[in-house]
Amino acid sequence: MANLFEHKDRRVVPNWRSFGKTTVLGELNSFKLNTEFSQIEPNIDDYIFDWQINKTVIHAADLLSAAIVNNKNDNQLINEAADFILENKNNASKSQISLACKILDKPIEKDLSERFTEINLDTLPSLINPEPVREKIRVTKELIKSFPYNPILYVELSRFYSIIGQERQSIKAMQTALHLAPNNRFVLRSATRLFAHFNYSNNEYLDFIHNILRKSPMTSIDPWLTSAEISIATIRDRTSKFMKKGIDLINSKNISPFNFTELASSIGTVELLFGGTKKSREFFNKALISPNDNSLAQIEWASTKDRQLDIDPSHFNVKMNFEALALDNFQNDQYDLAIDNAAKWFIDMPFSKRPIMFGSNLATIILKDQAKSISFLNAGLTSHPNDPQLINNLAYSLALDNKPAEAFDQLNKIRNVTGYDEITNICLTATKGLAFFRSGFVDPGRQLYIEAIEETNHIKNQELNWIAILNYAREEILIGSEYVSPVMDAVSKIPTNCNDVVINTLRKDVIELFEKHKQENMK
Amino acid sequence: MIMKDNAAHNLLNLTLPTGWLVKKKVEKTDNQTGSYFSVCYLVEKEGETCFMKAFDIMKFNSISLPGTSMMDVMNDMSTAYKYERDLSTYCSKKHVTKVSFVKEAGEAIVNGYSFSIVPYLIFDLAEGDIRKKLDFSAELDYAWRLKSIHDVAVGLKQLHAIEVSHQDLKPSNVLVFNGESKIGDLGRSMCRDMDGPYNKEVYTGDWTYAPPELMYRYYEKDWIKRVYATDCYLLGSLIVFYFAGISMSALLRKHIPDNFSWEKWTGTFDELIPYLENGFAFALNEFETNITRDDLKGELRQLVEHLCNPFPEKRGHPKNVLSAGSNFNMERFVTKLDVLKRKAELSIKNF
Repeated sequence: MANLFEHKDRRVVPNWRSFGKTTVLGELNSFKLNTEFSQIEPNIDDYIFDWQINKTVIHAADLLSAAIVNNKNDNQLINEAADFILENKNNASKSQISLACKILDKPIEKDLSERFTEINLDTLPSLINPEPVREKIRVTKELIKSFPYNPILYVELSRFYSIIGQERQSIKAMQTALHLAPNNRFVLRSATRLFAHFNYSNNEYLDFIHNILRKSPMTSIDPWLTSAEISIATIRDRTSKFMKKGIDLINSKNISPFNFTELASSIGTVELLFGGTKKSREFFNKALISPNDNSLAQIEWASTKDRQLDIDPSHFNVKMNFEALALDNFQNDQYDLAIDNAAKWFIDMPFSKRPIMFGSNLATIILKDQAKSISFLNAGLTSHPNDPQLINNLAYSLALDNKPAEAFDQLNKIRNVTGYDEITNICLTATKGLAFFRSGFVDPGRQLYIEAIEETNHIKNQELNWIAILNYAREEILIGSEYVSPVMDAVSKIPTNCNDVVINTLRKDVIELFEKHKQENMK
Repeated sequence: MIMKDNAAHNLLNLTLPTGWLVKKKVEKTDNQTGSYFSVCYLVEKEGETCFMKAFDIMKFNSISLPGTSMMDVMNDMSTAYKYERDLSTYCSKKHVTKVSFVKEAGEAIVNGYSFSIVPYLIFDLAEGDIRKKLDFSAELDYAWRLKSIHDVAVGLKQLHAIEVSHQDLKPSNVLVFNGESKIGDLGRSMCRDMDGPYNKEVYTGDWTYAPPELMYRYYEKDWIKRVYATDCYLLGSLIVFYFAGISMSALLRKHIPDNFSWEKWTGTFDELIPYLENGFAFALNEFETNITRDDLKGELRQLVEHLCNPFPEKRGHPKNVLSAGSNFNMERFVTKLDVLKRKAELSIKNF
């Protein structure tokens, strides 16, 4: 039985990308609308004059220096000077040549999404290679030797470690970054994501980062950090003391809509969960004035709770919005598109488990394409090599694909189940039952399924109980056992109007299989 | 007013009261200092040729804009003239040797013009500024470059010793005289003991070379700290120019994402710290790629790192930063440059 992608549970935890990508996306821009200082009015006429009368590489380079420093690149003579340097490369330094190239390569708005157009599930395996990440770790460590106090480098290092699943090293690098720049937005938001990502019941990462966020003087003035604090407080089932401050920031008119989009969607989420849909809609609508990929995905998620929020993410000019697109595709039954967007979502954030859980669940249960599911799960295991949910789901897909030996190989990687949550343990028990069924060992398989079903009753998780019954029923039908009839009685008690597409699909599949089985028996 | 009616433009062949013969009018060939108000000539006396700036007082006619007072423009001109003259006298009395200052100041009377008095300043004639000497075509001449930078650092140290901050140190203001480099153009400097036209301004030099904190309008309130931190950065930027051929500010701007550039950033300087540090790290890496000599690479990089640190409180030699006294004391840098200069010279001899 597969651990399911949690549609129920999304919070606006900051997305974590490289420093370069985060910068290009504008998420590190100043949140203030205007500067209180007057602009300097630069004049580079002297440099133009010197270049015109001297026509040497050094005068051309001096002009280019003046042009880039004073943001005066829009002059034909400057292009001429840059061309001159490139035509006389033998008389120029490396920096002069590189500056000339930069000046001539006119700044165009970078579309980060372009690099993702070729990515889909088929190309995913070729992109999951830890070697380039290890090389980046080596290069970053070298840079750190020269700049041991640069927090950005430690955040990058932490991210690389998280991609290949080295939790301890990743946490350590991030703690150093936090020590060096405890109030910096990039550091704090990256740390928030990392500590939320590695948060398990046996550690206190969430408490740690929440404490830092609450104490930072920037949290009450920087909407990007206020939003992060509110999200972490919500995950911890706490009431954020920054809610009112956050609302004031949104209404202050001193902050541009893009800078408060995550904050508005965070507050909208809290209102949706604990307040009223009317108020939450008000905040989600503010978040939609100029959304980013995270707020858009949040609203896409919220639209499953409040149908009036229904949006089409492709109508917004938001870069890297793969999660929102995948969720939207899923809601509109465009499953193949959803799979490809999930692959893009994972490549964009390769440390994240959500795209893997989403893609593999969709492939295994709805599309019944175990190869696709296995592909996602293998990719996810790069960054989560020992994750019991991913291992369970991989074993489940392998068993459904009638590869029970391989399924057992995966399940045997899990030695100690005491540290896992109850749901994961139940899923592991059921998956083991499935693997026994598919190996031809029906009795232990049946015993494990019944154990799993009883556990779902014990923890009073009705949906999990239905999923366990449906999985078990399928196996009894497939072997044509004498228990089909009582199991189908239990299946008949599962409501037909369930909101969960996974349960509906499993139920439909089991009933069809049962009908087919009946017809074959009648023959 | 046309040139033929303007005395400052018609000094050719005139003998000045102190015996200098005006030999040649010099068309502007470089970003010559103070040339906005002045006309340049070569003058000769007893076989010595010097450079003369004749102040064009009538210029106020052409630069007075509607809304600006003619008297204010004239006052600016005369203050600039007087300041450069008096500061030069002050420096020359204090044994400043590596700065090119006014050799003689006076007023020429040229009859037949509506305004017949032309104030002038005479300077030693330089071969040109260092842009004429720097050549990136072959193996860099490290010994010459390091000697020139050492000269400039000594000049800066001499100025700081008498509480003068240059504020406008840049390639066009480093003049070369018979193999010796001197700092030129004191016109934008600030002197603690003299009332200058710019003493109350936060920065008086060329914004193209200005340190990043000023570009982001982060001003240290303490005058001494602010102006010396600026000079410190400008010296580092000059080192970058000698070896990379572009200014430190250009190099830094190249490595700072556009979102954080000084023309776009609307937040505080503190918020920028990690991003500037990151850009600075990559700028230093690029600087290093321009240096082909492994024995000098590390030390030159370190010099630039100390002199150009984007945060004024971290700028200066680490031993000075961590101890009492001024962070921006030039002594250690002068010593370091002297060692590097000798190292480069020795390797030429060994070769």
